[in-house]
Formats: sequence, C-alpha cells, structure tokens
Amino acid sequence: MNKDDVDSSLVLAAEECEPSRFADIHKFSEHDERIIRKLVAHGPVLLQGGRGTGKSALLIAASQRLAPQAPGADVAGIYVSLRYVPLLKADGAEYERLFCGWVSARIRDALAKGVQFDFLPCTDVTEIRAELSRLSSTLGKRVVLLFDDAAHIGRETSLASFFDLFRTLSSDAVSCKAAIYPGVTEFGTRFDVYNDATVVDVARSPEQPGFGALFRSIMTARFPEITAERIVGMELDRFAQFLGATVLGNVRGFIYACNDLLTNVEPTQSLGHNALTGCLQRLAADYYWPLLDEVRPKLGKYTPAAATAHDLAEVIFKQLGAANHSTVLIHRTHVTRLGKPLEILEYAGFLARRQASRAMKSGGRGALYAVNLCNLLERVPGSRITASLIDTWLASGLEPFEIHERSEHFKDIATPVPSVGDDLAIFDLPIDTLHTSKAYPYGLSTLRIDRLRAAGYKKVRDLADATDQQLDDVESIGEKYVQRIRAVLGQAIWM
Amino acid sequence: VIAESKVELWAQDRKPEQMSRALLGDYVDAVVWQPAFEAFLDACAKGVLGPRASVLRGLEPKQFLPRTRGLAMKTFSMASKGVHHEFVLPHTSYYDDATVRVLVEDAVHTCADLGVVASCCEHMPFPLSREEALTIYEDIQ
Repeated sequence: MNKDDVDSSLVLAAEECEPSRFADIHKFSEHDERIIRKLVAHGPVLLQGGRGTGKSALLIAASQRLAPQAPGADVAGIYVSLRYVPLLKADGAEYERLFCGWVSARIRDALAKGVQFDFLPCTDVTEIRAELSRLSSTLGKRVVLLFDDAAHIGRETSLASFFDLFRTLSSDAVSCKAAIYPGVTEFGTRFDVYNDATVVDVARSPEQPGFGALFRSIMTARFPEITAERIVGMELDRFAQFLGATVLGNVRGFIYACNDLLTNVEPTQSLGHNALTGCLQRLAADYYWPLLDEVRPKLGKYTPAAATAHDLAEVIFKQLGAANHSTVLIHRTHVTRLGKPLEILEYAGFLARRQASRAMKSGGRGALYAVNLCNLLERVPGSRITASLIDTWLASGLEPFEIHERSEHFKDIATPVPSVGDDLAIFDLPIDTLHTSKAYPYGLSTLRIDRLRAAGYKKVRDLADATDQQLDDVESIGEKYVQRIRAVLGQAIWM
Repeated sequence: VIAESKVELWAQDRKPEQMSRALLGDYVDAVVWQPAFEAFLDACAKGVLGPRASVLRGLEPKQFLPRTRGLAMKTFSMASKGVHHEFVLPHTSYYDDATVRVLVEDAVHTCADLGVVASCCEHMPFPLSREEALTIYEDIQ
C-alpha cells in the first residue's frame, strides 16, 4: 500500500488529490462516463449524492477533459470549489459579492495554468457574466463552470442566493454544473429544479450493470496488494462486489474498507470470511457510528435530528439483523414524519434509498431502503460473515422487511423539532475536537493542538479564519502540516 | 402537449373546458401518469433493471411528469438553436460532440421513459404487456 494513502486524507477526498495522480487512482463505470458527458455538455446540471459517492471526482474528471487542462478540447471547463466559509452565513447582495469575488479568483487561478487571459476580479453578477462572455469569445469556446460543495443539508441561508446566481450565470456561452447533497430541497423562489436544471443522481447500486467491475478496477488501481491469490472462498470480482455492496456503493467507504483490510491483516495472511468479518465490524464501530457524531455539529437547525437518526438506525438494524434482511420498506407516513433523520442516515451511509414509492404487502406505499452491511452484521446472530450470508445479501429481488403504518417499531421515536437559528455548532467547538480520533482518523496531534492553543487558536472558527501564513508562523507547524490542518478543517466544516 | 400549470386542479368553480387534456399537462398527470407510474414502480420491483430504471425508481409518482416535462422542454429548447434568431454562437462551440450526444440520449430516454410508463397505464388501448415493455426499455438503455 502506498504510504501516502494511509497517512493523509488525500485518499478519501478527490478534491484534495494531487492532479498528477488523479487519473491513476480514480476509475469510472460506464454509468459514470455518461454523467461526465452530461457535465461536459451544454445545459445546467445538479449532481446529487451523499458523502463519498464520488461527486467531486466526477466534476474534476470532467474539468480534466476540458481546456485549459486538455488544451485541444473544444470546450473550456473550470472546477470551482465553494468551500469558502464566509459564503455559509451570507445571503442576498452580500452572498453575491462574496461569491463573485471567490469564483472570479478561482477562474483566474485555473486560467493562469495554461491560458493567456486576464480574468478581472468581479464583485457582482453583471461583471462576472461580462468576463465569462469575454473569455468565451476570446477562446472561441463554450465555458463550463463546475461548482463543488454548492449546497448542503442544514445550510439553507445561502441556497436561494446560490441557485439565483446559478440560473443567472447559465447562458448560451456558459454552462453551470453543481454538486449538491440529498436533502437540499430549498432552491429559492426563482429556481425551478425541473425546468432550470437536470438533476443527476450519483448513487450506485449492486443491481446496476458494471457495479462489481467498477469496484474491482478501483481495488486494482489503488490496492494492488489485494490479489486473487490472497483471497480465499471467492473470486476477486465477487470479493470486490461484496465489499462495494457492504458500503452501499460508496466509494469513500470502499476505500476505507480496503485500507482497513490491509492495515489489520498481515501481508502473509489470506483474505477470507474471517478477514471480512473483522473489517465489517471495525467499519461499523470506527467509521459509521463516529460519522454520526462528526455530522451532528454541521447540521445547523437540524442538529436535533442527528440524535433521532441514531435511534432510528438502532431500531432499523435491530429488526433487519434479527430477520436477516438487507432492505427495508418503510411506510410513507413514517418517511414523511422522520424525513430529516432518514436523510442524515443516507448522508452518513447507513441507508441508501433504492425506490421512492413501492406497494406494501401490508397496505399503502412506502420507500425502499438498502442498509449498509457493516452495521447490519453487528445485529445478525453470531455476527460472522459466511458464504451463505454473502449469497443472501448479494441476491437480488428478495422481499424487503416491512415497517408498516401501524408498526410499533418507531413508536418511541419522537419527531425532531428544528432548533431556532441555523448556526453551525462546529465553529464554536474547541480545536481539541480535531484531535485524531475515530471521527477524525487523520486529525491533529496533541503536540500541534497544544502549540495552536498557545498561539491563541481556541476554537475551530479561529483556525478556519486563519491564513496559511498565520498557521505556518505557529511553532512546530510547517507548510506540510498547514495542509493537514486544512484537510481536517475541510472534513470538519464541510460535508 | 404542455398546458399551463394550475395551482388547484379540482377547484369547484372550474368548468370542464378549463381542464386541459394536454398529454403532459397537470390533469392528465393526475389521472393517467401518476397511477401509471405507481404501476411501473411496482412492476420494477419484480425484476432487475439497469441504471435508467434506477433513476426513475428514485422518483415519487408526483415527480415523474414534472421532471420528464422539464427534460423534454430543455431538450427541445437546446436542440432547436439555430432555428431562432438568438443563435449567435458558432455551431462548433454550441453543438460540440458531447452536447449533441447528450441531447440525442436525452431525447431517446425521454421517449423511452414515457413509453414504458404509458405501457403500465390501465386506460391505454393496445398496450404492450408490462414485461415486454420493461424488456424493450432495458434494451434501449
């Protein structure tokens, strides 16, 4: 295994990946290639998917196929991350000023790497439209803007402003694309989600053609140590397919699982049912449950829903484990009442919605969810992976477990009430929150936290507001560690 | 084909002639498309379908027609540049390879989506069987 992959968060986040390594370690299925074509083509697109589904990787892959990164391309494309803290709290004219300033600076940076064009700093939408039009005319190419981290669950303040700008910037010469999270439902009064954009879902399901092949190619590219010779009890393809299915097709979860296997199984040992059992158990304990804790302070007014999501997960996995089902059909009255906690569980990778509406045997209609197999294994009698368990979980077309309208399962779960205001609690937490832990496996060391605290950085907000130079000036913190702080802050603040 | 949207479909003072029969309008959606889409979703549950069906399976019955209508309108609008006076960009910068390919895909998929769901409508004369419609739909993907 590449040492860099273990020691940094780069392995988990496409947007932090070194551009020269990107193509080597990011693999795409035929379905992904269709999505990339939509990102390259004309027309506004919203790319929707949970954490770690690969939205950023798709946006970056699209940008790499466009000028200036691909000089011969007949379309220009610029990837713009909207991870800019001031944007979170602003709206209206202030949001427009910050957005235009930030985006014009990022476009300027991107063009500096291969195009002779002086993109002027902009402060409002009229200026940036004029500059984009001038850029398009000068290059003789259509321009695609690929906005990453554009809209988050629990961060509604700026959404109407963003979608207003998204719509206004789109023209014959400029195509806007943006990555958003499931649960983003507020698009403002001027933006009609069906008429002003095409929504593309990034979710992957084992039922899709190419699912197993995709995860095998990722495994081969990033983890060559996992070979067919080391695997016992099944073929390499099935091993990759099963590991992909355990994390509901989530690429980040899959990479975490492969890393876990290589970290916890000796190189001389084989990879079979025992190794998978240990891996899935550790993922449940060290990855999924801590993820709910990590998400809680980022949810703004939906923070109370995180505790409900935890309770909901306990109930669902208990029932499914006892019945040995990996899918659950939940009556729509429950889905409506517990919508936000279910969205949080989807975001954190506990569940994946496979069908929005399906007839229930017990009457009425419900939403069908698949559950991750790591948390499910915790609740299966014996908690051990066996060949028959793999067969059962990978089989398609099995009847789901049903939670019907009058079911008692959710009777003790109260409907969460959104809190007043939408302040993000993460900013006011002490910097110790970022210490290496299960929630932050690539977090900060005790020594560095002590040094930062001594230099006056008390809260996460203080670190987020500091410049790279200010952090570099702190004792024991150099340029490389500044990047690590930025990566941890990225994980802490953004989804 | 596409009628103006009504806020309240079944207002008591609305006369029958004010209720549009547009194929992709809100009234036909309520009476035909939504029940047909529910039947389609239930038919999907019995088999294994590809990525396109996965997209449709993620939609609520109320979302199917507005989404399809939006996609059809966007595809028509984008594919008709050059017919209208606002065409000011060179063909090569607007109709690049990726855009043309996506436009053709979207047009085919929009027709396929409407076709497969229509085949699940109980009021449709001479429909394909659901199994046959789903098989053809899968082949189109």
